[in-house]
Amino acid sequence: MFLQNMQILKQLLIRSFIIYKPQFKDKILNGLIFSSLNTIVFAYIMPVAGLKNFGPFILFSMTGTWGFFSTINNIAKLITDITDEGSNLTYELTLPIPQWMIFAKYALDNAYQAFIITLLILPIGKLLLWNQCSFEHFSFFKFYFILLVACIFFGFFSVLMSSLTENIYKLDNIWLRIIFPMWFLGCFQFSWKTLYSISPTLAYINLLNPLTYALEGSRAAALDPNLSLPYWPCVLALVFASGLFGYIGIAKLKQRLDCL
Amino acid sequence: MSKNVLLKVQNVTKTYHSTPVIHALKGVNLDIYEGEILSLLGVNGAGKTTLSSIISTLHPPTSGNIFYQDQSIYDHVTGFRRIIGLCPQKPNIDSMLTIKENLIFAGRYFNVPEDVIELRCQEMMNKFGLLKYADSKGAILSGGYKQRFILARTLMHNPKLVILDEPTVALDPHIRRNLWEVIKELKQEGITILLTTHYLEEAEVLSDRVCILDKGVIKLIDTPENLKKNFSKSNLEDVFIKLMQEDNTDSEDL
Repeated sequence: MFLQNMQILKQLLIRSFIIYKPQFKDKILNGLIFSSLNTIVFAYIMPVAGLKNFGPFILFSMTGTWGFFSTINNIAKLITDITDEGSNLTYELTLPIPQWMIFAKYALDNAYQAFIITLLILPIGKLLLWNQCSFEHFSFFKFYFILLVACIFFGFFSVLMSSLTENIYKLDNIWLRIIFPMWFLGCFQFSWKTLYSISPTLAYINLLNPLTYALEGSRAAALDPNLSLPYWPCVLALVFASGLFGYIGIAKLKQRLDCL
Repeated sequence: MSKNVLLKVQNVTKTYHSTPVIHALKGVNLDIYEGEILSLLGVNGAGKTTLSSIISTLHPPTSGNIFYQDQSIYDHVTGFRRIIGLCPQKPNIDSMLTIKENLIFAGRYFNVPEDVIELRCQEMMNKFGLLKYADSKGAILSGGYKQRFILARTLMHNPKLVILDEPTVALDPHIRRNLWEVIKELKQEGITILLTTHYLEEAEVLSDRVCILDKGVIKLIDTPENLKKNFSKSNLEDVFIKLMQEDNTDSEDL
Protein backbone atom coordinates (compact mmCIF):
# COMPACT_ATOMS: atom_id res chain seq x y z
CA MET A 1 0.00 0.00 0.00
CA PHE A 2 2.78 2.41 0.97
CA LEU A 3 4.63 1.67 -2.28
CA GLN A 4 1.48 2.19 -4.33
CA ASN A 5 0.89 5.54 -2.62
CA MET A 6 4.48 6.55 -3.32
CA GLN A 7 4.06 5.57 -6.98
CA ILE A 8 1.00 7.79 -7.30
CA LEU A 9 2.72 10.62 -5.46
CA LYS A 10 5.66 10.27 -7.85
CA GLN A 11 3.33 10.50 -10.85
CA LEU A 12 1.64 13.58 -9.39
CA LEU A 13 5.03 15.23 -8.93
CA ILE A 14 6.06 14.32 -12.49
CA ARG A 15 2.82 15.86 -13.75
CA SER A 16 3.62 19.06 -11.82
CA PHE A 17 7.12 19.12 -13.25
CA ILE A 18 5.79 18.86 -16.81
CA ILE A 19 3.67 21.93 -16.09
CA TYR A 20 6.55 23.69 -14.36
CA LYS A 21 9.05 23.19 -17.20
CA PRO A 22 7.66 25.85 -19.59
CA GLN A 23 7.75 28.38 -16.73
CA PHE A 24 11.38 27.64 -15.97
CA LYS A 25 12.83 30.49 -18.06
CA ASP A 26 10.55 33.01 -16.35
CA LYS A 27 11.48 31.70 -12.93
CA ILE A 28 15.20 31.98 -13.72
CA LEU A 29 14.68 35.55 -14.87
CA ASN A 30 12.80 36.31 -11.65
CA GLY A 31 15.62 34.79 -9.62
CA LEU A 32 18.16 36.79 -11.58
CA ILE A 33 16.32 40.08 -10.97
CA PHE A 34 15.86 39.27 -7.27
CA SER A 35 19.46 38.33 -6.61
CA SER A 36 21.20 40.91 -8.77
CA LEU A 37 19.16 43.88 -7.51
CA ASN A 38 19.69 42.93 -3.88
CA THR A 39 23.38 42.28 -4.39
CA ILE A 40 24.01 45.49 -6.31
CA VAL A 41 22.17 47.66 -3.78
CA PHE A 42 23.74 46.11 -0.70
CA ALA A 43 27.23 45.60 -2.09
CA TYR A 44 27.71 48.75 -4.16
CA ILE A 45 25.20 51.43 -3.07
CA MET A 46 24.75 50.92 0.68
CA PRO A 47 28.52 51.08 1.44
CA VAL A 48 28.45 54.67 0.19
CA ALA A 49 25.87 55.34 2.91
CA GLY A 50 28.21 53.80 5.50
CA LEU A 51 27.12 50.15 5.48
CA LYS A 52 30.32 48.22 4.87
CA ASN A 53 30.88 44.54 3.91
CA PHE A 54 27.18 43.80 3.71
CA GLY A 55 27.14 42.17 0.25
CA PRO A 56 27.96 38.57 1.29
CA PHE A 57 25.60 38.77 4.28
CA ILE A 58 22.72 39.76 2.01
CA LEU A 59 23.70 37.26 -0.68
CA PHE A 60 23.34 34.32 1.70
CA SER A 61 20.19 35.81 3.23
CA MET A 62 18.73 36.16 -0.24
CA THR A 63 19.55 32.60 -1.17
CA GLY A 64 17.74 31.45 1.95
CA THR A 65 14.64 33.51 1.28
CA TRP A 66 13.91 32.96 -2.42
CA GLY A 67 11.57 30.11 -1.53
CA PHE A 68 9.84 32.34 0.99
CA PHE A 69 9.14 34.99 -1.63
CA SER A 70 7.67 32.40 -3.96
CA THR A 71 5.14 31.31 -1.30
CA ILE A 72 2.73 34.06 -2.29
CA ASN A 73 2.45 32.57 -5.78
CA ASN A 74 1.99 29.09 -4.32
CA ILE A 75 -0.72 30.29 -1.96
CA ALA A 76 -2.55 31.97 -4.86
CA LYS A 77 -2.36 28.75 -6.91
CA LEU A 78 -3.71 26.57 -4.13
CA ILE A 79 -6.50 29.00 -3.21
CA THR A 80 -7.55 29.13 -6.86
CA ASP A 81 -7.64 25.33 -6.94
CA ILE A 82 -9.58 25.13 -3.68
CA THR A 83 -12.23 27.61 -4.76
CA ASP A 84 -12.65 26.35 -8.34
CA GLU A 85 -14.94 23.32 -8.61
CA GLY A 86 -13.44 22.53 -12.00
CA SER A 87 -9.83 22.52 -10.81
CA ASN A 88 -7.49 19.59 -11.06
CA LEU A 89 -7.52 19.36 -7.27
CA THR A 90 -11.09 18.02 -7.31
CA TYR A 91 -9.86 15.19 -9.55
CA GLU A 92 -6.76 14.52 -7.48
CA LEU A 93 -8.86 14.13 -4.34
CA THR A 94 -10.64 11.15 -5.93
CA LEU A 95 -7.41 9.27 -6.68
CA PRO A 96 -6.54 6.05 -4.80
CA ILE A 97 -4.24 7.82 -2.37
CA PRO A 98 -5.01 9.32 1.05
CA GLN A 99 -6.34 12.84 0.55
CA TRP A 100 -3.79 14.36 2.95
CA MET A 101 -1.06 13.25 0.55
CA ILE A 102 -2.55 15.44 -2.18
CA PHE A 103 -2.01 18.50 0.02
CA ALA A 104 1.45 17.28 0.99
CA LYS A 105 2.12 16.99 -2.74
CA TYR A 106 1.39 20.73 -3.12
CA ALA A 107 4.00 21.42 -0.43
CA LEU A 108 6.57 19.19 -2.14
CA ASP A 109 5.85 20.83 -5.51
CA ASN A 110 6.50 24.23 -4.00
CA ALA A 111 9.63 22.96 -2.29
CA TYR A 112 11.45 21.48 -5.27
CA GLN A 113 10.44 24.31 -7.59
CA ALA A 114 11.84 26.87 -5.14
CA PHE A 115 14.97 24.78 -4.56
CA ILE A 116 15.82 24.61 -8.27
CA ILE A 117 15.91 28.41 -8.52
CA THR A 118 17.62 28.76 -5.15
CA LEU A 119 20.52 26.69 -6.54
CA LEU A 120 21.14 29.39 -9.16
CA ILE A 121 21.13 32.41 -6.87
CA LEU A 122 24.49 31.82 -5.20
CA PRO A 123 26.53 31.59 -8.46
CA ILE A 124 24.84 34.74 -9.78
CA GLY A 125 25.59 36.56 -6.52
CA LYS A 126 29.19 35.37 -6.50
CA LEU A 127 29.68 36.69 -10.04
CA LEU A 128 28.35 40.08 -8.98
CA LEU A 129 30.29 40.28 -5.72
CA TRP A 130 33.41 38.54 -6.98
CA ASN A 131 36.23 39.10 -4.48
CA GLN A 132 33.93 40.78 -1.95
CA CYS A 133 32.55 37.32 -1.22
CA SER A 134 34.89 34.87 0.48
CA PHE A 135 34.18 31.15 0.76
CA GLU A 136 36.50 30.74 3.75
CA HIS A 137 33.79 29.37 6.07
CA PHE A 138 31.52 27.98 3.34
CA SER A 139 30.31 24.40 3.69
CA PHE A 140 28.72 23.22 0.46
CA PHE A 141 26.81 20.34 2.04
CA LYS A 142 25.55 22.30 5.03
CA PHE A 143 24.52 25.28 2.94
CA TYR A 144 22.51 23.39 0.34
CA PHE A 145 21.11 21.00 2.92
CA ILE A 146 19.59 23.81 4.97
CA LEU A 147 18.30 25.43 1.80
CA LEU A 148 16.54 22.18 0.94
CA VAL A 149 15.06 21.94 4.44
CA ALA A 150 14.05 25.60 4.25
CA CYS A 151 12.34 25.07 0.87
CA ILE A 152 10.39 22.14 2.33
CA PHE A 153 9.36 24.41 5.19
CA PHE A 154 8.27 27.11 2.71
CA GLY A 155 6.19 24.47 0.90
CA PHE A 156 4.29 23.51 4.05
CA PHE A 157 4.08 27.15 5.05
CA SER A 158 2.29 27.82 1.72
CA VAL A 159 -0.19 25.05 2.50
CA LEU A 160 -0.91 26.48 5.94
CA MET A 161 -1.34 30.01 4.58
CA SER A 162 -3.68 28.72 1.85
CA SER A 163 -5.80 27.04 4.49
CA LEU A 164 -6.09 30.37 6.33
CA THR A 165 -6.97 32.44 3.25
CA GLU A 166 -10.68 32.54 2.50
CA ASN A 167 -10.34 33.61 -1.12
CA ILE A 168 -7.93 35.16 -3.59
CA TYR A 169 -9.15 38.69 -2.76
CA LYS A 170 -7.80 38.28 0.77
CA LEU A 171 -4.30 37.38 -0.37
CA ASP A 172 -2.94 40.82 0.51
CA ASN A 173 -3.94 40.20 4.13
CA ILE A 174 -1.61 37.21 4.21
CA TRP A 175 1.13 39.18 2.49
CA LEU A 176 0.99 42.28 4.69
CA ARG A 177 0.04 40.69 7.99
CA ILE A 178 2.10 37.51 7.95
CA ILE A 179 4.64 37.16 5.14
CA PHE A 180 6.04 40.68 5.16
CA PRO A 181 6.49 40.91 8.97
CA MET A 182 8.03 37.43 9.03
CA TRP A 183 10.54 38.47 6.40
CA PHE A 184 11.21 41.97 7.72
CA LEU A 185 11.78 40.78 11.29
CA GLY A 186 13.22 37.41 10.33
CA CYS A 187 16.89 38.32 10.37
CA PHE A 188 17.13 39.09 6.65
CA GLN A 189 18.99 42.39 7.02
CA PHE A 190 20.43 41.76 10.47
CA SER A 191 21.73 38.79 12.41
CA TRP A 192 19.97 37.38 15.45
CA LYS A 193 22.97 38.27 17.58
CA THR A 194 22.70 41.91 16.51
CA LEU A 195 19.05 41.91 17.56
CA TYR A 196 20.00 40.24 20.84
CA SER A 197 22.54 42.96 21.55
CA ILE A 198 19.81 45.57 21.11
CA SER A 199 16.96 43.76 22.85
CA PRO A 200 17.23 40.21 24.24
CA THR A 201 13.44 40.09 24.69
CA LEU A 202 12.83 40.91 21.03
CA ALA A 203 15.49 38.39 20.05
CA TYR A 204 13.81 35.62 22.04
CA ILE A 205 10.42 36.52 20.55
CA ASN A 206 12.08 36.37 17.16
CA LEU A 207 12.93 32.72 17.78
CA LEU A 208 9.24 32.02 17.20
CA ASN A 209 9.71 33.08 13.58
CA PRO A 210 10.84 30.04 11.52
CA LEU A 211 12.35 32.31 8.88
CA THR A 212 14.97 33.28 11.43
CA TYR A 213 16.24 29.69 11.43
CA ALA A 214 16.31 29.49 7.62
CA LEU A 215 18.39 32.66 7.38
CA GLU A 216 20.60 32.18 10.42
CA GLY A 217 21.21 28.55 9.40
CA SER A 218 22.11 29.54 5.83
CA ARG A 219 24.59 32.11 7.08
CA ALA A 220 25.96 29.71 9.70
CA ALA A 221 26.83 27.36 6.83
CA ALA A 222 28.37 30.06 4.66
CA LEU A 223 29.87 32.80 6.84
CA ASP A 224 31.64 32.84 10.19
CA PRO A 225 29.47 30.48 12.30
CA ASN A 226 30.20 32.49 15.44
CA LEU A 227 28.11 35.33 14.05
CA SER A 228 24.94 33.23 13.64
CA LEU A 229 22.74 30.87 15.58
CA PRO A 230 24.20 27.33 15.63
CA TYR A 231 23.57 25.39 12.42
CA TRP A 232 22.01 22.09 13.53
CA PRO A 233 19.45 23.58 15.93
CA CYS A 234 18.36 25.77 13.01
CA VAL A 235 17.87 22.66 10.87
CA LEU A 236 15.92 20.94 13.64
CA ALA A 237 13.75 24.00 14.22
CA LEU A 238 12.90 24.11 10.50
CA VAL A 239 12.07 20.40 10.46
CA PHE A 240 9.84 20.88 13.49
CA ALA A 241 8.14 23.94 11.94
CA SER A 242 7.59 22.04 8.66
CA GLY A 243 5.91 19.21 10.53
CA LEU A 244 3.80 21.50 12.67
CA PHE A 245 2.75 23.86 9.85
CA GLY A 246 2.16 20.93 7.51
CA TYR A 247 0.02 19.09 10.05
CA ILE A 248 -2.11 22.11 10.87
CA GLY A 249 -2.36 23.26 7.24
CA ILE A 250 -3.39 19.86 5.91
CA ALA A 251 -5.88 19.32 8.77
CA LYS A 252 -7.45 22.70 8.08
CA LEU A 253 -7.63 22.09 4.33
CA LYS A 254 -9.19 18.67 4.89
CA GLN A 255 -11.76 20.25 7.15
CA ARG A 256 -12.41 23.08 4.71
CA LEU A 257 -12.90 20.77 1.74
CA ASP A 258 -14.78 18.19 3.82
CA CYS A 259 -12.31 15.43 3.03
CA LEU A 260 -12.25 11.91 4.41
CA MET B 1 -30.44 -7.92 -14.91
CA SER B 2 -28.09 -9.36 -12.32
CA LYS B 3 -29.30 -8.96 -8.74
CA ASN B 4 -25.95 -9.16 -7.02
CA VAL B 5 -25.52 -6.19 -4.74
CA LEU B 6 -22.42 -4.23 -5.65
CA LEU B 7 -22.78 -1.50 -3.08
CA LYS B 8 -24.92 -1.21 0.03
CA VAL B 9 -25.59 2.30 1.34
CA GLN B 10 -26.71 1.99 4.94
CA ASN B 11 -28.42 4.76 6.86
CA VAL B 12 -26.19 7.50 5.48
CA THR B 13 -26.72 10.99 6.79
CA LYS B 14 -24.96 14.22 5.94
CA THR B 15 -25.24 17.43 7.90
CA TYR B 16 -23.49 20.64 6.93
CA HIS B 17 -22.86 22.74 10.00
CA SER B 18 -23.31 25.96 8.11
CA THR B 19 -25.69 28.79 8.95
CA PRO B 20 -28.42 27.56 8.84
CA VAL B 21 -27.52 23.91 9.51
CA ILE B 22 -28.37 21.83 6.45
CA HIS B 23 -29.42 18.19 6.76
CA ALA B 24 -28.58 17.19 3.19
CA LEU B 25 -29.17 13.45 3.71
CA LYS B 26 -31.38 12.00 6.42
CA GLY B 27 -30.71 8.30 6.64
CA VAL B 28 -30.41 6.98 3.11
CA ASN B 29 -30.57 3.22 2.56
CA LEU B 30 -29.88 1.98 -0.92
CA ASP B 31 -28.63 -1.13 -2.70
CA ILE B 32 -26.86 -0.71 -6.02
CA TYR B 33 -26.89 -3.86 -8.13
CA GLU B 34 -24.10 -5.06 -10.35
CA GLY B 35 -24.46 -4.01 -13.98
CA GLU B 36 -27.45 -1.72 -13.52
CA ILE B 37 -27.96 1.93 -14.33
CA LEU B 38 -29.47 3.55 -11.27
CA SER B 39 -30.56 7.14 -11.62
CA LEU B 40 -30.77 9.57 -8.74
CA LEU B 41 -33.52 12.09 -9.34
CA GLY B 42 -34.68 15.05 -7.34
CA VAL B 43 -35.10 18.79 -7.34
CA ASN B 44 -32.19 21.08 -6.54
CA GLY B 45 -31.02 20.49 -3.00
CA ALA B 46 -32.60 17.05 -2.79
CA GLY B 47 -29.24 15.50 -1.91
CA LYS B 48 -28.30 13.83 -5.22
CA THR B 49 -24.83 15.29 -5.57
CA THR B 50 -24.18 14.91 -1.84
CA LEU B 51 -25.02 11.21 -2.04
CA SER B 52 -22.94 10.61 -5.16
CA SER B 53 -19.98 12.47 -3.69
CA ILE B 54 -20.19 10.39 -0.51
CA ILE B 55 -20.36 7.17 -2.54
CA SER B 56 -17.34 8.34 -4.52
CA THR B 57 -15.51 8.93 -1.19
CA LEU B 58 -14.90 12.56 -1.99
CA HIS B 59 -16.66 13.52 1.24
CA PRO B 60 -17.41 11.51 4.39
CA PRO B 61 -20.95 10.88 5.64
CA THR B 62 -21.92 12.36 9.00
CA SER B 63 -23.14 8.91 10.01
CA GLY B 64 -23.95 5.61 8.37
CA ASN B 65 -21.84 3.30 6.27
CA ILE B 66 -21.33 2.00 2.75
CA PHE B 67 -20.43 -1.62 2.07
CA TYR B 68 -18.68 -3.09 -0.91
CA GLN B 69 -18.57 -6.89 -0.90
CA ASP B 70 -19.78 -6.88 2.73
CA GLN B 71 -16.86 -4.74 3.83
CA SER B 72 -17.09 -1.09 4.81
CA ILE B 73 -15.50 1.04 2.12
CA TYR B 74 -14.02 3.18 4.90
CA ASP B 75 -11.86 0.25 6.02
CA HIS B 76 -9.92 0.52 2.77
CA VAL B 77 -10.83 3.75 0.99
CA THR B 78 -7.96 3.80 -1.50
CA GLY B 79 -8.73 0.22 -2.53
CA PHE B 80 -12.37 1.13 -3.08
CA ARG B 81 -11.38 4.14 -5.19
CA ARG B 82 -9.64 1.77 -7.58
CA ILE B 83 -12.96 0.21 -8.56
CA ILE B 84 -14.88 3.44 -9.04
CA GLY B 85 -14.72 6.28 -11.50
CA LEU B 86 -16.26 9.68 -10.85
CA CYS B 87 -17.44 12.08 -13.55
CA PRO B 88 -18.09 15.31 -11.66
CA GLN B 89 -20.75 17.84 -12.56
CA LYS B 90 -18.12 20.36 -13.62
CA PRO B 91 -15.43 18.87 -15.89
CA ASN B 92 -12.11 19.05 -14.05
CA ILE B 93 -9.67 18.57 -16.90
CA ASP B 94 -6.02 19.25 -16.28
CA SER B 95 -5.93 22.14 -18.73
CA MET B 96 -2.12 22.38 -18.66
CA LEU B 97 -1.68 18.88 -20.14
CA THR B 98 -2.70 17.55 -23.52
CA ILE B 99 -5.63 15.17 -23.81
CA LYS B 100 -3.28 12.24 -24.34
CA GLU B 101 -1.09 13.20 -21.38
CA ASN B 102 -4.21 13.54 -19.23
CA LEU B 103 -5.26 10.00 -20.13
CA ILE B 104 -1.77 8.58 -19.62
CA PHE B 105 -1.55 10.10 -16.16
CA ALA B 106 -5.07 8.88 -15.35
CA GLY B 107 -3.81 5.34 -16.05
CA ARG B 108 -0.61 5.82 -14.07
CA TYR B 109 -2.44 7.20 -11.03
CA PHE B 110 -4.26 3.87 -10.85
CA ASN B 111 -1.07 1.83 -11.40
CA VAL B 112 -2.22 0.53 -14.78
CA PRO B 113 0.79 -1.09 -16.56
CA GLU B 114 2.42 1.15 -19.20
CA ASP B 115 1.64 -1.16 -22.16
CA VAL B 116 -2.01 -1.35 -21.11
CA ILE B 117 -2.11 2.45 -20.70
CA GLU B 118 -0.96 2.91 -24.30
CA LEU B 119 -3.63 0.56 -25.64
CA ARG B 120 -6.35 1.88 -23.37
CA CYS B 121 -5.48 5.46 -24.26
CA GLN B 122 -5.92 4.76 -27.99
CA GLU B 123 -9.10 2.83 -27.32
CA MET B 124 -10.63 5.61 -25.24
CA MET B 125 -9.66 8.37 -27.67
CA ASN B 126 -11.12 6.33 -30.47
CA LYS B 127 -14.30 5.48 -28.62
CA PHE B 128 -14.99 9.06 -27.56
CA GLY B 129 -13.88 10.75 -30.78
CA LEU B 130 -10.91 12.44 -29.10
CA LEU B 131 -8.16 11.33 -31.49
CA LYS B 132 -8.04 14.66 -33.31
CA TYR B 133 -7.52 16.43 -29.98
CA ALA B 134 -4.88 14.00 -28.68
CA ASP B 135 -2.11 16.62 -28.66
CA SER B 136 -4.28 19.59 -27.79
CA LYS B 137 -4.50 21.12 -24.35
CA GLY B 138 -7.68 20.27 -22.43
CA ALA B 139 -8.72 23.92 -22.22
CA ILE B 140 -9.63 24.10 -25.92
CA LEU B 141 -12.33 21.42 -25.80
CA SER B 142 -15.99 22.38 -26.15
CA GLY B 143 -18.50 21.41 -23.43
CA GLY B 144 -19.55 18.16 -25.14
CA TYR B 145 -15.99 17.04 -25.77
CA LYS B 146 -15.03 17.91 -22.21
CA GLN B 147 -17.72 15.53 -20.98
CA ARG B 148 -16.53 12.87 -23.41
CA PHE B 149 -13.00 13.35 -22.21
CA ILE B 150 -14.04 13.10 -18.55
CA LEU B 151 -15.79 9.82 -19.33
CA ALA B 152 -12.74 8.55 -21.18
CA ARG B 153 -10.48 9.48 -18.27
CA THR B 154 -12.87 7.82 -15.81
CA LEU B 155 -12.70 4.57 -17.76
CA MET B 156 -8.91 4.45 -18.11
CA HIS B 157 -8.53 2.15 -15.09
CA ASN B 158 -11.55 0.01 -16.02
CA PRO B 159 -13.77 0.80 -13.01
CA LYS B 160 -16.65 -1.45 -11.94
CA LEU B 161 -18.80 1.47 -10.84
CA VAL B 162 -19.03 4.75 -12.71
CA ILE B 163 -20.64 7.70 -10.96
CA LEU B 164 -21.97 10.26 -13.40
CA ASP B 165 -23.01 13.50 -11.76
CA GLU B 166 -25.28 15.33 -14.20
CA PRO B 167 -23.13 14.44 -17.20
CA THR B 168 -25.39 16.03 -19.79
CA VAL B 169 -26.20 19.29 -18.07
CA ALA B 170 -25.94 22.32 -20.38
CA LEU B 171 -25.18 20.17 -23.43
CA ASP B 172 -26.86 20.48 -26.81
CA PRO B 173 -29.61 17.89 -27.40
CA HIS B 174 -27.65 15.97 -30.07
CA ILE B 175 -24.54 15.81 -27.88
CA ARG B 176 -26.71 14.63 -25.01
CA ARG B 177 -28.09 11.84 -27.21
CA ASN B 178 -24.55 10.83 -28.16
CA LEU B 179 -23.62 10.56 -24.52
CA TRP B 180 -26.70 8.44 -23.88
CA GLU B 181 -25.40 5.96 -26.43
CA VAL B 182 -22.04 5.92 -24.69
CA ILE B 183 -23.70 5.29 -21.33
CA LYS B 184 -25.73 2.42 -22.82
CA GLU B 185 -22.53 0.91 -24.22
CA LEU B 186 -20.92 1.07 -20.78
CA LYS B 187 -23.84 -0.86 -19.34
CA GLN B 188 -23.49 -3.46 -22.08
CA GLU B 189 -19.86 -3.86 -21.03
CA GLY B 190 -21.09 -4.75 -17.54
CA ILE B 191 -20.21 -1.48 -15.83
CA THR B 192 -22.55 -0.38 -13.05
CA ILE B 193 -23.62 3.22 -13.40
CA LEU B 194 -24.93 5.63 -10.82
CA LEU B 195 -26.41 8.51 -12.77
CA THR B 196 -27.41 11.79 -11.18
CA THR B 197 -29.63 13.79 -13.45
CA HIS B 198 -32.19 16.55 -13.66
CA TYR B 199 -33.51 15.26 -16.96
CA LEU B 200 -36.37 12.84 -16.41
CA GLU B 201 -36.43 11.81 -20.04
CA GLU B 202 -32.78 10.83 -19.70
CA ALA B 203 -33.49 8.78 -16.59
CA GLU B 204 -36.42 7.09 -18.32
CA VAL B 205 -34.42 6.13 -21.39
CA LEU B 206 -31.29 4.96 -19.60
CA SER B 207 -32.20 3.63 -16.17
CA ASP B 208 -32.95 0.16 -14.93
CA ARG B 209 -34.15 1.76 -11.72
CA VAL B 210 -34.70 5.30 -10.56
CA CYS B 211 -34.32 6.59 -7.05
CA ILE B 212 -36.24 9.76 -6.26
CA LEU B 213 -34.71 11.83 -3.50
CA ASP B 214 -36.50 14.66 -1.78
CA LYS B 215 -35.13 16.79 1.04
CA GLY B 216 -32.49 14.23 1.85
CA VAL B 217 -34.70 11.14 1.97
CA ILE B 218 -35.52 8.51 -0.63
CA LYS B 219 -39.14 8.86 -1.70
CA LEU B 220 -39.21 5.95 -4.13
CA ILE B 221 -36.97 3.40 -5.80
CA ASP B 222 -38.32 1.34 -8.65
CA THR B 223 -38.06 0.66 -12.36
CA PRO B 224 -39.37 3.43 -14.63
CA GLU B 225 -42.05 1.02 -15.92
CA ASN B 226 -43.35 0.19 -12.45
CA LEU B 227 -43.41 3.83 -11.46
CA LYS B 228 -45.40 4.76 -14.54
CA LYS B 229 -47.79 1.88 -13.91
CA ASN B 230 -48.26 2.62 -10.23
CA PHE B 231 -48.91 6.29 -10.83
CA SER B 232 -50.94 5.64 -14.01
CA LYS B 233 -48.79 8.01 -15.99
CA SER B 234 -47.29 7.70 -19.44
CA ASN B 235 -43.88 9.12 -18.64
CA LEU B 236 -41.51 9.61 -15.75
CA GLU B 237 -41.82 13.37 -15.83
CA ASP B 238 -45.53 13.14 -14.98
CA VAL B 239 -44.75 10.66 -12.21
CA PHE B 240 -42.18 13.02 -10.78
CA ILE B 241 -44.51 16.04 -10.94
CA LYS B 242 -47.31 14.09 -9.28
CA LEU B 243 -44.99 12.91 -6.55
CA MET B 244 -43.76 16.42 -5.87
CA GLN B 245 -47.34 17.75 -5.82
CA GLU B 246 -48.30 15.04 -3.30
CA ASP B 247 -45.35 16.03 -1.21
CA ASN B 248 -46.35 19.70 -1.27
CA THR B 249 -49.93 18.78 -0.32
CA ASP B 250 -48.63 16.71 2.60
CA SER B 251 -46.51 19.62 3.76
CA GLU B 252 -49.48 22.01 3.58
CA ASP B 253 -51.65 19.52 5.52
CA LEU B 254 -49.10 19.50 8.26
